[in-house]
Amino acid sequence: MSPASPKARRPVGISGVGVVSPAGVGSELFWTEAVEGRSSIRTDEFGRYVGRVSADDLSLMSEKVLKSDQWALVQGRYNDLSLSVSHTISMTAMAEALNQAGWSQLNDDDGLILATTTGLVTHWETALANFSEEKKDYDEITGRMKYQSLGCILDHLAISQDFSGPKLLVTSACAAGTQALALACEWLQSGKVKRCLVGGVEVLSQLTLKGFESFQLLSGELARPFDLHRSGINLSEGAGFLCLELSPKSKPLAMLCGGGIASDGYHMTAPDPNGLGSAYAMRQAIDRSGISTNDIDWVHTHGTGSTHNDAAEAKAIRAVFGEKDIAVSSSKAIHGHMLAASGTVESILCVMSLAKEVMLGTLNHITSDPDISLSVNDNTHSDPMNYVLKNTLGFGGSNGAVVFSKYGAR
Amino acid sequence: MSEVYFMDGEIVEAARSQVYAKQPKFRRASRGMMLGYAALDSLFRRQSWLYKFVNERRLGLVIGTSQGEFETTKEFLTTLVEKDIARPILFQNSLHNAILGFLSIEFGLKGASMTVSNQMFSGEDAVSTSIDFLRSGWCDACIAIGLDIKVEALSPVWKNLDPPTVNRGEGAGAVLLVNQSGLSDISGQTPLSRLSSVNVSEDQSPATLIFDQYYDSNGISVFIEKFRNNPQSQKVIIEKPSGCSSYFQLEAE
Amino acid sequence: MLAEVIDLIVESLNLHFVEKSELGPETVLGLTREPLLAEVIDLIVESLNLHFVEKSELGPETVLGLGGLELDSIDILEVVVGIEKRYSIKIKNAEEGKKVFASIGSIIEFIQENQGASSESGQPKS
Repeated sequence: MSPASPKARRPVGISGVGVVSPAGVGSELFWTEAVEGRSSIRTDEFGRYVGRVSADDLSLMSEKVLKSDQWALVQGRYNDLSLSVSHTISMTAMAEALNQAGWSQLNDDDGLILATTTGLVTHWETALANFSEEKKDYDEITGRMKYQSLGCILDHLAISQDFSGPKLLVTSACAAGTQALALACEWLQSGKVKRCLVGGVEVLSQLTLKGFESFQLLSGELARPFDLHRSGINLSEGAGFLCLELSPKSKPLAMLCGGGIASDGYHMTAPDPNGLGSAYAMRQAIDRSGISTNDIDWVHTHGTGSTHNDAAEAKAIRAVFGEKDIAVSSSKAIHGHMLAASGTVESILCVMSLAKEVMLGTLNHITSDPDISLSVNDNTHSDPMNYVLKNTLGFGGSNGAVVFSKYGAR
Repeated sequence: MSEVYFMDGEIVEAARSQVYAKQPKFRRASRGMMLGYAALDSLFRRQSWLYKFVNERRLGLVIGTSQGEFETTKEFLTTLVEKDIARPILFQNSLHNAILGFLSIEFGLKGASMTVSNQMFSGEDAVSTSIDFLRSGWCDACIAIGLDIKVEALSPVWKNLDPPTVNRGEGAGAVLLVNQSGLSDISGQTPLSRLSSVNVSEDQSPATLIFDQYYDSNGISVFIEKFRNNPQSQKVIIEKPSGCSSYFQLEAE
Repeated sequence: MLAEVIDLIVESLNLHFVEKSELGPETVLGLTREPLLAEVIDLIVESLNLHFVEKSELGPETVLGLGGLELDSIDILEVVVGIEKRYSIKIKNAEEGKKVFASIGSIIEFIQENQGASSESGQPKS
């Protein structure tokens, strides 16, 4: 039997979403801040423009998580494990999504896919950075390295839900979130699982802050997606989870139709300047959704504010849409760049855009770049859209794109 | 359910990375990248039809790694602390996805590709994701690599954490899989077997083996070795040091 | 005046091993070109692992990018980071960076003109 043709694939319902972001706790708050154009990017003690979950929010969430049955299950298995920011924000976002979807638990015929590059990094990076062979002190580092493997957080989240079904952790850099969604769509459409919980989580760390700084990729101001004077990204942290199912019990927020995954094979960190890999992933997502470029109403871009990303992505979008004057936006100036989590968190914005019939603007896009021939949508406005394309590009030349539709679009 | 075929496999021992260490092309490559390169290099030499699939974006790549670029990450962080320098090359190489990035560039891979990580099942997850890719039609051939690097300076840590039956090492294993569409396009090639699924079992029973040169993502290389010893197997079971296991469900051709 | 300045430098820095008579107006306080060239070459070759390149074949005329060492953007960044740290200098922006890191010679000139201009915090002193 050959793989199902695009027309045969049923769209997948999104029954619930959950978000923790620098704006605060909850998807509605996240949405409201985005609609009202309020950025949660702030300067840190080093003057860097970053998006950080507030200490107050973290404290309240941690208290709740520590008292939860879910955390008790994790501690029951690993009694030496301390609660990390990654645990706190992912379990909080997960709980919101599950609650919204009306899923009281995960069953063994469900699936769980997580996207992250940092995992539990804050648990071990300091110990590793300060490790010295001469000191010969292995006790502390042992406790830290026990949870270094990236898959640990997937394991903990599964245990927290008493879940033994198929699970996967995707770590294809900044494209991981959309790749996770694309794969979840396949798992559901092929019948591998009945429902699928997909999430992304990322936390700020010395590793990423210093690393991106060494690349001179951090902007010295609020990011300016696609702007002529753009000068880099604002790193951020957060978690976004989506509950997906083929047969939702009640009207879903929106539908996930299909996804595309492709590589640039060009450079380790810079995107292919012609955007060929990204264009291929977007075309694949559109084809596998059984629609054409004419059907797409809006592209929610990766639009990080980096010189190279935005230029390459613009070329990619132009290559896919040809002469069509497709509306595009980036919300990175609102919430920052959450690396692997950006794919799921920003997809949640796409889902809510479709549900609430609102097309988001692009905060801090002030001066058009003549080399970027895109219709950047600056202002948030009502728009009863049918199909939205979410695009991402990642280090290592990884690309991912997914198509969402309004419920009942076809 | 559409068929997936197991065409070829390659086990890469740790020492093979030495072959590349002095070559200019690998001056910025980590040991993980060299091991991944060795796996792909061998497969491409034996299966030259892969080049056609590369040109048509029909070759996928999934890499499974538990600890990723652990050594590079350590070097980046310790250089930061000791010398207050954040080295860009080290950061670039410290992402789990960096190995895939390097291999994509070296082999011109532009098809569907992904890096996955799931501790001792990282290799297995790479294979089962490859199967998903092939069944979905994202690609018609797919290579799954399970790869992990050992950081010598941290050996005492693993001695503390691992059961006494484990002697940690490093290495890579790769399998080449195709779907029906891919198979029909490669003449004169007979699959070694079908591969229906890769499953993991987290039920723990006491592990009976000694695990020499063990690394978390070695499920693929153990599978290849066991398969070579018994090519008629219907099912290849892989025991893990923790007492869990996985199995590759095959059907003999 | 000359004698006074020489005295001040030798006394305050305890340069007791230096013959005052060998110092004059032409004396450079920082690194002269030859040792600086060797240091910069070492830094480039070591940090970029250019083990297959003969250091003796590199010189001020060596271009870093296309047509020379063929270094890419990440390589250049690596050299920038190393040079900034080693000589306490800060590159102001990408434009300056392109000019400074065009060749080994342009790097050396920049170091000689700006060495120590940046404070510990990395901010350029006025």
